[in-house]
Amino acid sequence: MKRPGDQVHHGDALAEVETDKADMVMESFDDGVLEEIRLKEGESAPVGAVIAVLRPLNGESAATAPRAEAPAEAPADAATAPTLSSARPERVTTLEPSRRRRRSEAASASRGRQEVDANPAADQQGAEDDGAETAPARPVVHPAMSAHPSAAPTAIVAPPAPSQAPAMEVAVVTDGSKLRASPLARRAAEEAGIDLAAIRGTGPEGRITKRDVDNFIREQQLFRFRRLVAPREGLPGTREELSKMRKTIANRMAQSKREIPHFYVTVEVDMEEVVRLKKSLETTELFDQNITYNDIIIKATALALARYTRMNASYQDEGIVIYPNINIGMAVAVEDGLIVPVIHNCERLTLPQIAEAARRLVGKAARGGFSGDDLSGATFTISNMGMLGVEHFAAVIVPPQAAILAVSAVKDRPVVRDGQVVVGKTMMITVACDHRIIDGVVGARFVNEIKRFLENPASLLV
Amino acid sequence: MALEREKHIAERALLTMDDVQIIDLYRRMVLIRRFEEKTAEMYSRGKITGFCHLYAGEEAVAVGAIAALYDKDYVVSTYREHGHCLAKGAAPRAVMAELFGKATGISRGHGGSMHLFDANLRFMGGYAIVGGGLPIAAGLGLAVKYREEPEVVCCFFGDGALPQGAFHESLNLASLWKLPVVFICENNFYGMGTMVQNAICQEELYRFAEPYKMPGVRVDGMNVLEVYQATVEAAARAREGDGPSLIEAVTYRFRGHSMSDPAEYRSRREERIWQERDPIKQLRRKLLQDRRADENQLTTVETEVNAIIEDAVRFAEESPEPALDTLGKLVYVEDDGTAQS
Amino acid sequence: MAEITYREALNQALREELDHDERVFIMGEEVGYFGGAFKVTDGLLATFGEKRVRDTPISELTIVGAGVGAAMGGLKPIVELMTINFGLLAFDQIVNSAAKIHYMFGGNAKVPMVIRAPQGAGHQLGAQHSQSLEAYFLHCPGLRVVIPATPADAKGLLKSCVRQDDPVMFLEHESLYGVKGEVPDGEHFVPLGQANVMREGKDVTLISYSKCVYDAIAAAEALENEGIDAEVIDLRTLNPLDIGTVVESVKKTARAIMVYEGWRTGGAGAEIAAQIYEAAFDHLDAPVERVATLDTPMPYNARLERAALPSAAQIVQAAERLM
Repeated sequence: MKRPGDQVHHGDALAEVETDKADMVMESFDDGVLEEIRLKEGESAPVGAVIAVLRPLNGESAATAPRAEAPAEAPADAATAPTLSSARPERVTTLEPSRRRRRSEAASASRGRQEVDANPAADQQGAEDDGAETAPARPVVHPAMSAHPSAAPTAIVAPPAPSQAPAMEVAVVTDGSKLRASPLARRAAEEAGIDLAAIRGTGPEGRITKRDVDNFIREQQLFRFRRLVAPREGLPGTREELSKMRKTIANRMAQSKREIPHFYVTVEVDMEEVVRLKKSLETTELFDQNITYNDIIIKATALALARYTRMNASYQDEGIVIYPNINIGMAVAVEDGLIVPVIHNCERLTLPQIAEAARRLVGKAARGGFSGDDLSGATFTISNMGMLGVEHFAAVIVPPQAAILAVSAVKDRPVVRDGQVVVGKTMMITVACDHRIIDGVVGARFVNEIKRFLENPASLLV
Repeated sequence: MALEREKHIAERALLTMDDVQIIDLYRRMVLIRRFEEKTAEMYSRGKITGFCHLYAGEEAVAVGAIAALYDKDYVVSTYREHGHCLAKGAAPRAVMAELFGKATGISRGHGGSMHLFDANLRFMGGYAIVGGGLPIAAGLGLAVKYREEPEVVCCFFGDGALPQGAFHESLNLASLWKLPVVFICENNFYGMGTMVQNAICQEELYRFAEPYKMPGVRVDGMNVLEVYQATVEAAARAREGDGPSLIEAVTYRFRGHSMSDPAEYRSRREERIWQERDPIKQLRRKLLQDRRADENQLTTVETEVNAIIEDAVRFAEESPEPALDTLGKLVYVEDDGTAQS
Repeated sequence: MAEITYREALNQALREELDHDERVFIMGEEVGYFGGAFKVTDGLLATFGEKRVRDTPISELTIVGAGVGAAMGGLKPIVELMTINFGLLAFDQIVNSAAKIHYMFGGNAKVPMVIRAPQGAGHQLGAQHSQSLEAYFLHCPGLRVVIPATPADAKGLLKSCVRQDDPVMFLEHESLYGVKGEVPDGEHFVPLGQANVMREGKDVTLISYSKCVYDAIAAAEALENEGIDAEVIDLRTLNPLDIGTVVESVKKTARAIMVYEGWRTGGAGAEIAAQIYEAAFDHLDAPVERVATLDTPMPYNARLERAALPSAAQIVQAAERLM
């Protein structure tokens, strides 16, 4: 689509990328001059590999220039002749961020680049070499994908559309470095039967502390996750009957990918202020409710949806339906499947009200007793795997909705503040959009709007 | 010359002693000599290990000085203290067992050759830091004086201790406070392998008494009677409350500094000269010459001593090692049940 | 209960013990007519006379060595080193004699002696007069190391030391002599080997002794404003060490900071941190921190000196790092 030397503007299509699910246009989020294309037409590249280099208009050197990186195994820069790169379904892989010491080197470049790679921590320079040597990293299928819930079988029914369970794409947790956890946290996790890899560390240098384990357990209890570490696996050589829920998920997800042209936009959100806000809310006990990251993200998303109404819509043959209300579904794993409880009328709810509604739904998920309303009527869905420590993932749109937001874990990553590289807390969010009604620029602005709210979270309190 | 003057003193001492006392001096010196010879043998056989400093050749100093003391007087010594400990009355069995590192040793096998101790005998220990015993001797003297008791403290040390600060500080304090201490310097001419004249600006060591305002005498440390007489006088002065004295006993160790020292810094000729002045041979000749004892008597003593030493070795050999579970005990008084209220 | 200074508390203890036991006597530089370089022995000479309160020449090695001998001879000496810096001249007698005699003589001898020594920095006394050397003695088996922070403990511990049979390094802090505190009237004993929980808290344990206890308490109060609830432990004696109280606290708080005025490297805090790791590793939510004196000879300049020494602000920062 572009040739070296071409000027590229924000929102321009850079490449057409084919995954085994869908073709998508990869857009530029930056202005600049395409300096180099690293991948030939038709070639595959692992996620995170540099496929092209974009030099800013002000002419920074190539070494620090933002680069476009492959969003998935993707042939690049091809307007035509896409080839199937892999038979493996939705394999999203990342590079090993094995060279931690390079983080700071990478940091200066990381801010401006197009955040479509799954592994922003990977060093820019090293990405090419490492990519050749080590990528694709062994994909880790997160156990949460087949988590066993404890109870509430009554809730496990195929939910009616439009709150059809979305299938989350396979997420990857690849932190090649040694897991940091305090001895106490290790012991607490062991006693609770929790895999530390699933927990996000908020202590110094990202260390998992007892507090993190406690918070994890609390959230886990909320969502009735249990035995996270034991993915449900069938016995080899046997055939398992499809449950009703499994069938529904299979049908709906297949329908989604068949009918909806997905494209994905990812941004990295600086979560420092949210972390601080959450802490100060805990300290001051301003609200009766315990406010979770999830609540804050729902609130920010609701505000963004109010401004970008196309995101809160549905493609119908008759035309585009813009929903009058913002009803946000939250994907929750249950026995061999998912349910999506819905918080209705989010545009009218304050942050503590959202928290209260979420708490109520979670309670129902635990005890059973969802009413039809609780599981239906979603106009937008959030799939949050932050508590599972994922770097980055993308989700499949739940028909007939127009978009779904995938929320990854808050991680320590290098950020630039006041010209200095420091360790910041950032989070990847990825929106999957129905290209029939949403164009790249809208998707991009939408996620950037969420980013803006999360980076200035005081606005979420009003 | 000082040594000539002291000869007369020795003659006087001889006259004050009865035959039993005199033969006992001989017995003690022979006991120490045989003990040290046996120790060297056992060391060569690997029965005794660690540092081991023999006293052979210097017996007249320990035996002469300690003979001048009462049982309740204190003795403080160095790492070359087998002789002092035996002279103070320690059982050869207990000392040999200590050298063997056995539980029956005088320090329960915890001290070794350099750290013999017996509170009942008032043998207040061998200290293996050069000069380390002097301040302790001063402190013992202080305890005696504090309680207004009649004892004296006899403190042995080598010529090597004189350049130490502890020597000067202790003599100053003892003199200042008029403590009942008899400081006995065994001048064997070598601090380890360094000759006195290469270590000390004043070779006449007894002269160090003068600046500390105490009597200082030099005696023939190969002559037990001279050492005895000098110590009698110094102890009497201490008991009178007149304070400390310094005795320099000129002597010679027949072996190296320790069992691992072949003493190659000394000439064989020098060693032969001093061996001719062997304190035991000297006393033996004197006793026979003055008819204070006959050949038979002295041979009997030697035979008896040999038997005692053989018995000590047998005892040490047969004694048990300290139990492993004693390790970590005896570090604090309260941990081993000897604490007082 | 009376409110008296640390200095007065020590003086009381000495007076009472001199009165209680004929065998007890005091010996050291300037302890008699001068009344003690820090006036701790003030007035004792007048009551007990020259025999019991003995001025010595400046001969640290022999003052301590004579104390060892006197103790072996049946007395109970309390030896004062004018400061611990001079005590280094007596190191041989402390380490090679006092600490060893009971053991190397097979338990047949004992040295019931208390060596009192002021130590510590903070008065611009320069490199040779600003040291806290408790770790040197803590390193040596056979010595008790007692290091009180409060007037009550100064009195109670000193009396207990005089009544027991092992050699003791009784380390006072030069900045504490004027500190006032409640001291029980009459006979008051604090047993060796019992730490004191000065302040209870649940988020982090500040483990300290001597003057730094006050810094730890100040830090705990500052931390309270930040919502961090700090527990403060005054060890009071380093040998015997009440590691049980420390471990119990750390198991509760999951975080520990050693606060001490010795040099950071090889300090008492390092040893205690190691023991915490050994006994409570699985209970720790963060590494054990050390707030101690910078590894440098003490500068004379006031600003540099302050910066080299541990402070409440440093403790607060350390606590924040751990949370």
